[in-house]
Amino acid sequence: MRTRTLVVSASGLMLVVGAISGAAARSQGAGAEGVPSRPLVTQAEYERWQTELSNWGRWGKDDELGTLNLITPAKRKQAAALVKEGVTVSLSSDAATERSVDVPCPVEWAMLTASQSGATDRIGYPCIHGAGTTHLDSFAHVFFGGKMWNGYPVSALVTKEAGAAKNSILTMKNGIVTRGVLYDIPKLKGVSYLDPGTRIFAGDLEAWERKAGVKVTAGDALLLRWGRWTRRATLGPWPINEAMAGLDNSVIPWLKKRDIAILGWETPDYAPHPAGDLPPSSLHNFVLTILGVHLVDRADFDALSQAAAARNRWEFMLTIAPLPIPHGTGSPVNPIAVF
Amino acid sequence: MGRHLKFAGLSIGLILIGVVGGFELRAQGQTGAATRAGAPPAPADTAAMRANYERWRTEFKTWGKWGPDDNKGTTNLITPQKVMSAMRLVKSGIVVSLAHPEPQQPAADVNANGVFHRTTNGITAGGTTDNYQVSYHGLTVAHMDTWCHFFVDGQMYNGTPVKDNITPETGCKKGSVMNWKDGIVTRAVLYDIAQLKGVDWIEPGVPITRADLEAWEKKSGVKAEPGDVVLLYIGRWKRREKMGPWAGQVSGYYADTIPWMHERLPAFIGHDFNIDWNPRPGWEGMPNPIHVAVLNWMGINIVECLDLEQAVTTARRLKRYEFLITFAPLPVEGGTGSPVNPLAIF
Repeated sequence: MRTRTLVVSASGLMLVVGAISGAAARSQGAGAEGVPSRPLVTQAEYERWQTELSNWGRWGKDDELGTLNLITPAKRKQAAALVKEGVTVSLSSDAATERSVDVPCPVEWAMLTASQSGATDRIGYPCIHGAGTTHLDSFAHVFFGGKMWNGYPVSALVTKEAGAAKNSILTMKNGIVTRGVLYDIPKLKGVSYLDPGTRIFAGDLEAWERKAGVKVTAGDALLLRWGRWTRRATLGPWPINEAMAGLDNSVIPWLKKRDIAILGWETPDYAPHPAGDLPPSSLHNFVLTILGVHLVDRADFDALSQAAAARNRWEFMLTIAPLPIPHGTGSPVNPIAVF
Repeated sequence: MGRHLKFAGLSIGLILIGVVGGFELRAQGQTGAATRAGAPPAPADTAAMRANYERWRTEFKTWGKWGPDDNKGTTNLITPQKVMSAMRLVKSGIVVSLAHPEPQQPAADVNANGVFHRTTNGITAGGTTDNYQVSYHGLTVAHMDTWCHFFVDGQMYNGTPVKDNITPETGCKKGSVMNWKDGIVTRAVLYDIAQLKGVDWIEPGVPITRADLEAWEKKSGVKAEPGDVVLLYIGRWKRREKMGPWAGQVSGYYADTIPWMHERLPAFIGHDFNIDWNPRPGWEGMPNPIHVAVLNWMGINIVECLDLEQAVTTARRLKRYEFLITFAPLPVEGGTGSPVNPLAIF
């Protein structure tokens, strides 16, 4: 009953957002200049949503999976049925082992032994949640008012010595197998990549759905591309956390309504933020902690975009298998799309 | 060489544990006669097998089979058609992991290098992050290998010279884990040798022979084919849970399975422990004969130190010993392998 009320209020809100956003559709670039082209979500709204849109308790008080509960065996079979050709595509960026302007904390790789009979190596991720690694966030990564997903108190359950006793990446040991849908926003706009600072709205997502003929439904993975890697290949690296495109905070109710199980993206936010905006990563934090949607961050969707465009097919089977790291807040991953 | 040293280190660890762990030794004595007695005797056919092994070096080489520049070996046999036929094995929509939780403490089978280091970076009001480090070519971290992991006479699979191909700075240029970046999706065939023998686990050190594999095929009605992943189950984790960890003695693929692998040409051979049977009396001077045969001669890759307990439980319940398997390495340029968490989908 509670859920139904929420959905209704969420769609009401969408109508409002849709009505306002139509007028400003052409001047999106202005978002980067500091004067917002469209209204910003206010702190009051954001706080209200923390109650109104919360999924805490929806799957019981002991739940640590969040919307992954929506991936049922039937859902997996439906995803498997999307495989028509037997072609696989990696959605991971190559591990960035060199320091660069967009990777201040690179992956540490070292040859351990190399002889005439064989070789071994070691991999280190000093900044697993940083820009140099495609990774899956666990619910132990972000806290809201001293609590993690589903209301677990941080103080008793996350310690420097032992890591996370609840909501760790180990909860996802058995992997994620579901339907993936690519939202290719540069393709929608007819550009190679979006300008940093571009806020992507629900209207954009729905315009893509009309153009591509696909829609995320409950239990799906929504993969959002804005062209971060194409821009890097064209212009070279830049301080990525200061200039990127991403979902506007107003998309939060839309994400709740669609009930996705996974949200994947190339960058976790848009930047710079206009004056008066919510703090950085507001949507990232809300989606992970309040909606209970796990995040695949810093993915590379360029190969996926090409494979999907070549087939004009924007849905596929997606598999993600984190390393089963007890007490860990995340894991490097190499998600695979299968067409 | 590295593996040589590692085994030496592990045996020292075992000795220490042996001294400390009186209780565990007593417990082992009840069912683990082979363990207590030390090295099992060499199989009667050891001399013949060693002679065969030297012949197979040339006979079973697949070098050049997929072109002089090939880096994928029998992974080439995972064609789109092969993927599609594997997809048809997904009937129940059940998915289980084939990896054990990463070892964060040293143990008999986790030496100091093999610990999966996890450190909490710091805890703020807004959240927390970790620092990870892993040398995954051990006995407990589920991982895949590459051609860069074992060499013979200065050459890697397909004749790539080691000298020009590997440096400490760049790692492995050809044959690295990047060749598998787009992931593996294929058919897995489970060889449930514990069930075949009617035991909870096979005792450490017992070689698994070609006859065992073929007896299982008769019993189960499934057979490994080109491009498959072979999963050998000996009940390693079930035994570890009851008896405690051990190393040095492994019930693994015996030398006489090499012709079987040559005939079947799986893309990967898998195991819930290290691939090679061990110890190997009579094989002095020839370390890791199975690793060498598959990774260097035949171009068959390895996915080992898996935890197959969940898959075995599910397969026995559903009476289905073939299923879809998928895994993908962390794409590290130059890497000699990768930790993985393979998924079995029934």
